[in-house]
Amino acid sequence: MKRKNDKAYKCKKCGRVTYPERVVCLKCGSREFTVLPFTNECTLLTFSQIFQLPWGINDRYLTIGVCQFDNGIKAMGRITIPEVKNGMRMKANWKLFRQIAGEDVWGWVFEPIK
Amino acid sequence: MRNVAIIGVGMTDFGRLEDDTLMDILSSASLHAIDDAGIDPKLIELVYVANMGGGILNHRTAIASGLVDNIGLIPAAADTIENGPASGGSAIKNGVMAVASGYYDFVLVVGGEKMRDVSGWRATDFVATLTHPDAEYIYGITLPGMAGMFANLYMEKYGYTRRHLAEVAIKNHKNALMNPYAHVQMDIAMKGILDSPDAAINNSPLAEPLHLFDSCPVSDGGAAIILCPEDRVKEFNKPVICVAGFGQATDTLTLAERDDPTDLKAVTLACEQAYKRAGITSKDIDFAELHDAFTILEIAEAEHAGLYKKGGYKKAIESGENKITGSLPINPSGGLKSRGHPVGATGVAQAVEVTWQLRGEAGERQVKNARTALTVNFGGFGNNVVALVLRRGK
Amino acid sequence: MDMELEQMLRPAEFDMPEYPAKVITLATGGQMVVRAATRRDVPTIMKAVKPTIKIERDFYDVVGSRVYAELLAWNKYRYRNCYVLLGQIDNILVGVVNGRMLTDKIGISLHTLAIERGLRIGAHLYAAKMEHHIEFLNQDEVWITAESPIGFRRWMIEYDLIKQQGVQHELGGADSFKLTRDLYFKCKSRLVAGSRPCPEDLLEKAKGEIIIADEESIVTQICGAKGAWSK
Ligand SMILES: CC(C)(COP(=O)(O)OP(=O)(O)OC[C@H]1O[C@@H](n2cnc3c(N)ncnc32)[C@H](O)[C@@H]1OP(=O)(O)O)[C@@H](O)C(=O)NCCC(=O)NCCS
Ligand SMILES: [Zn+2]
Repeated sequence: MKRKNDKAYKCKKCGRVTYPERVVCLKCGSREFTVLPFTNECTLLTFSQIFQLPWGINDRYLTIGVCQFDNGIKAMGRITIPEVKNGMRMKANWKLFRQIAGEDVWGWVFEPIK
Repeated sequence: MRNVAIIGVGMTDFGRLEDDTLMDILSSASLHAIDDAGIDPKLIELVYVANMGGGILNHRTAIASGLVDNIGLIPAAADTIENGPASGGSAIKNGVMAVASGYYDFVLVVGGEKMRDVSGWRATDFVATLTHPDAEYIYGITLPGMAGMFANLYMEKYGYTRRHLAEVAIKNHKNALMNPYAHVQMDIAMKGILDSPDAAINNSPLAEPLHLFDSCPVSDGGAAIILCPEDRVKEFNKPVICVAGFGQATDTLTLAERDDPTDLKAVTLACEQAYKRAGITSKDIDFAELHDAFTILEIAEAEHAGLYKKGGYKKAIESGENKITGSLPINPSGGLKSRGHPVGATGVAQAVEVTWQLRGEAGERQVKNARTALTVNFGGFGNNVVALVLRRGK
Repeated sequence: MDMELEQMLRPAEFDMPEYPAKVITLATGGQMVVRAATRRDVPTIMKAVKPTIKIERDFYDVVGSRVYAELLAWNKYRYRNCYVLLGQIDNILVGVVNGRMLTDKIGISLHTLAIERGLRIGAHLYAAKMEHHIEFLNQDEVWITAESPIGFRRWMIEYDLIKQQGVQHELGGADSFKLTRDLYFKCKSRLVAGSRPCPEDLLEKAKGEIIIADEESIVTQICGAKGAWSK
């Protein structure tokens, strides 16, 4: 299955950044976008150390957060350790981090920059 | 357009209904509402069933068709309405529009969920399917996790502490002790959930900064109401309780994409619409049933509904004005926190509680002198919200 | 009774240090005394366990019958060693856990039975049992197997237990898991509650009288009397 999480877009008309992809710009209604590459680093906006995880995940907890890339893209991802703070600078790694029903899943794994 | 009234309400117990199927739950709630109204079932021409998980949890679809068959309402029109945890509010809104428009006179709206057929881990996974499949769900995010990320920002921005959250939980647990339908009937104390060394273990972290007692349980249960045009209420021996206004608004599916993730725009918009349709302002609200799936949401919704300014609910918590005996009671039923949260049933259960309160039938937990009430049914993580204003009299 | 024959059936019991009682503050603010049961307590405990034998919910029937039999076997001297810990709130019995020593260094966790739900009684008592094996019986590891789904995934995950492929627990079920000293001390602070010493008066009262709820309230407490048609 193709997951639509590997590209971010910028509206050709008004410049609004969209992630994950959608077919119509939320701001101006345009349907034309250009691909906006992710930057290597980002800033942590919020996170939570999460327990009682769903079926299929056997970790005691996961730390999951939302980061803003330096060009404005915002994305959720896993965070390597729970000892982080809002506003922290993070390195953004695109990784194969789990399987769902036998299928590889790629996504964002954020790592604090010391 | 016609004014729309509620002439019958009913509920099942909320909790773990071990021996009952989803259809039992929906049927029981429906019959309770029909009996409460004292209506001839043949008059019911339309049925809306609010349910989120029949397909996933109970391997059952086309639930509305099953229900009219089971409770003898054929050939009434019947639809299932799925709008995540706001399915109940959505179903009521559609019922109200059907009556207001003049197309239908008597409409049954019933919400129900049977979540305990599966293990807690599967229930957690089921609820998480309402998040974005490729940008959120894959990471293992849970609804408590979404609420945790939200609480992290909201508490920082508006100066809330875990003690404020715990106060909300304690209040709602106390209210539920007076609600015989409530799932969790346990009088929790600050000492046991926050202030003793053992509290950290009793009230273990769920999604930081939220802990177990900041969360609703996973429940089975059903609730139902019967709607009709206000001018036909006199045919039944019931006081006039009107759905004076409704509002509904959406927001971005992902939390990340909101310009300010602490701003629950859809709550504000839905409430503003509901107040406007009812011809009132937030100042006219006497009490509210808010969607406190997590304690932080009672706080944030009270503020986004305009009942308090941002950060202002602290005052209500500290003064106790949000208690049943206070000047603006919030969640006299015990809320989702303690009454429970069978997702599809919740929005309807809120309307049932408000109707009981406005009729003066709420027993020990009766709010005094209430005329106008607000319900907020919060779908997704704030991306689809339904608000209702209910009023005694026209 | 033919005591000569009986002597052959009774294993030589080896002495076990007694679990020192503690008191836990629960979410309600109430206090639960956790203490070692004595043989003298067994008939009363059995009365509380009996109603669970017919409860199908969450395999209370399997666990309840097993605990009942284990209590009986202990009382009638059929274990070479065995301990039973009780949880009491206002003297009311709310939970029972038991276990034994397979060897000096290996402990066996038998069962966990909570007679009241929603207060994390099972979790607290289970933790007390692990505490007993590692800290007071001074063992290196505890073997665990699950017979009901409630404990299963939570405990495996919470304690990060190690799966022992192909190793049989004496209950004979699925592959067993083990808790090591190391793992225990890693999770102790987040799982093991309570303080010591348990106030003398509280402990004396708990020892003096074990109150057993009537059969119907035990069943109601575990199952909930609720049903879709109950109102
Ligand atoms: C918080 C949570 C993880 C706790 O699960 P748990 O520890 O496995 O709880 P159990 O299922 O073992 O419940 C045991 C008892 O504890 C009590 N209990 C469970 N959750 C509770 C809570 N949040 N608050 C108070 N008591 C609770 C109940 O009395 C329950 O008894 P029951 O089985 O008769 O219902 C679970 O309730 C949960 O996931 N809640 C969130 C649900 C959700 O996200 N809903 C959608 C929101 S939009
Ligand atoms: Zn645009």
